Amino acid sequence: MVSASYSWPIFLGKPWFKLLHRKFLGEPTQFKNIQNLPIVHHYGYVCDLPPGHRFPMKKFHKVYDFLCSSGIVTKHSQVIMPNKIEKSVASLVHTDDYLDKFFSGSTSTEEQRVTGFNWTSHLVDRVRYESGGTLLTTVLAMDRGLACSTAGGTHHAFPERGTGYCLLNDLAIAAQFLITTGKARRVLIVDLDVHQGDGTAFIFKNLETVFTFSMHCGRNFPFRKQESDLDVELREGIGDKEYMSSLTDYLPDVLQSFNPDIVIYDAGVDTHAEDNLGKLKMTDEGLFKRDLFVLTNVINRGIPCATVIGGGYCQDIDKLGKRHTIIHHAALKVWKQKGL
Amino acid sequence: MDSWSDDDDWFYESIKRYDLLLMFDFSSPVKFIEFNDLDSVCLIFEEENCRNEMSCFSLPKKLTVLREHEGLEKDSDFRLLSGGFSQKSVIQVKILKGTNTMLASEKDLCGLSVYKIPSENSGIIHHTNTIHSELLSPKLAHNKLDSLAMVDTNKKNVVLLDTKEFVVKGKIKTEENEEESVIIPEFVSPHSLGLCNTETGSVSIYDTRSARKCSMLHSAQPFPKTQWTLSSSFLSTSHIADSNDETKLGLLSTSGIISVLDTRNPQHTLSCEKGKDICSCSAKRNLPKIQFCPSKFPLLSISGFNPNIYIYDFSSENMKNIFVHDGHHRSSSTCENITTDHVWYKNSVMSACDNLSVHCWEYTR
Repeated sequence: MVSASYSWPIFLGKPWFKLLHRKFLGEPTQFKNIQNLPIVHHYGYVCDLPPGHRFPMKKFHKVYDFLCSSGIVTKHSQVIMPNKIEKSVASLVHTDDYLDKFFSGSTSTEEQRVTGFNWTSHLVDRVRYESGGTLLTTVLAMDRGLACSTAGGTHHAFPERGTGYCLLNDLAIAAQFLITTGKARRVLIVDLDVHQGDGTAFIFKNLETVFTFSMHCGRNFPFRKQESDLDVELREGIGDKEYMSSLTDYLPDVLQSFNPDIVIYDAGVDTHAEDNLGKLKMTDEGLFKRDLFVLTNVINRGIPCATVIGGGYCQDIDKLGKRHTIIHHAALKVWKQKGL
Repeated sequence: MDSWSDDDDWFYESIKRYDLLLMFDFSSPVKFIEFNDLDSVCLIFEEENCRNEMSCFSLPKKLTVLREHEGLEKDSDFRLLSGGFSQKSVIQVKILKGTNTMLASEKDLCGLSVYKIPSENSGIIHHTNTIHSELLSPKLAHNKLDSLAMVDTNKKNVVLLDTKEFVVKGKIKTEENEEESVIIPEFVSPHSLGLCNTETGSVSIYDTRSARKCSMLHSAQPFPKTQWTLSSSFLSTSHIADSNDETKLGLLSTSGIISVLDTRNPQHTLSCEKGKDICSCSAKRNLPKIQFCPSKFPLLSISGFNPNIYIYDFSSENMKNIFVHDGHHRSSSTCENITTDHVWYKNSVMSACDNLSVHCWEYTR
């Protein structure tokens, strides 16, 4: 989808005017309007769920609303809307059989049960928007140095099935897309969600061009872990200090030794003490320091970084939405400090 | 109109033909275009999975500034302000200007869905409530003030809704001989509602205050297997342009016949024309559209037959086609595309086609 946008000023005895060739109002045209930290968001990130459903679907709207109200985001110059991921792109990672079933609603009751969602066509839409958003965020990051999505981090999806609220593996799709299209030769996925990124680990277990680094609580889902390129299992109940100690031990070395062309960072907030599912005890301040540490280490090395919000589960949807904006606050700070 | 050898030739020639031309492609075809206020527009996209995506965009500055200042403006893009999805497939929408409220008639819904178009700090167009009525998927007409007319094409009754309080404030029972026909409504003045019989092209004017029929107008000549639609110049007048005469009623048939009548003198057809090179609409498509230019010029536009928008001058009895916007046609197209909607914005037109294109244009007079 190439933008053929160009214009020429013509003077024909009339006031100057510009004729603008056909423009796509999709991602390419929106690119050039971005003047600050790019924020990828789509109102299609949300679909209706049955009342009382455990997944906090509305948090994606809350994240965006808080970013707007806090002044982090100026809609006109920062927000870019993704397109839905195409089946052909998703098939870089997922099997055709699974995609056909998922897109058409032919997944079995059992297959749906393990994902935590009952199939609806609107669910498919939101999953496709979310994956498209992560992909766009990585492409933007390659272009601008740093970009953030207001969703993403569906790291439990395997090539042939979804699990744990994850139906397509957006991190894997984005990473594989970058490799396949030659936009990046080496991709590092830093997954700091409290749950291991088992789907991502499985997908890239034999691919040397993508390095999967997952730091998670050993006692959290999934109970049958996969093998990332680097797994750091944290014990239950640790707080900010111990967490940062582990991160400091590993992240700089990984960046130094692997030397990626881009880092995709899953900044899950389910490591927070108030998270319903996570078994760690981080604080808001600890999350901010964590995110700042990751972004600073990555950007200081001249490596682009794309962030997704990852997991977070809390009944207070406002608190959860605000917590998920911590990564965006950290990203904006780094953006300004580094003069990106 | 000459047919262009390829797209590049068309673009080259368009330099002379247009004072303004902004062309966009979206990822889905636009079904409806509705202006929210002076600076923003809502686009309703074709349905997918039984619902429509709705997006509110700020208008490009090149479109909104005075034409003599347009060259100073760089901004030629729509910018997304908010978006959302409808509850069900949208039949028709009306935006209540100045209230950020959108009313939608939807498939299989008895009544209307109410949507809020948000202000700065939220990006979501969300459904707030449903106004229930006995009318199934009604056709809508708004008098730009405080009245919305809803017509159920099955029941033939008209319900008037107060758009400030969202309560029913009146009902009009239509005459029996209209019971077998499909009726579409349109206000011809703040308190006069026109009900067009789509089979015959006759328009009954009802006073909404007394619920009584005032007059009846007929199209120039009836045609078999033809459907009619209408528009009034009252709807086109706006505080953003010099007011046009508010007394004109335009009728358009699916066979391309255009009639302009004066509501003060219903027996006399002011102007009439059979659009040349306009083939009859396919019965499967929606009714074509007719719109009056909001400025002082005696112009109207029609669309919905093919990828083109036709502009006519109706200042004389023989209506004259003065411009055809054929930019939606692509030389690479393999199937016949149809325009889906068009609206006037000052002296410019915003038009949409089912090949994903949306254009903002002003032809050179």
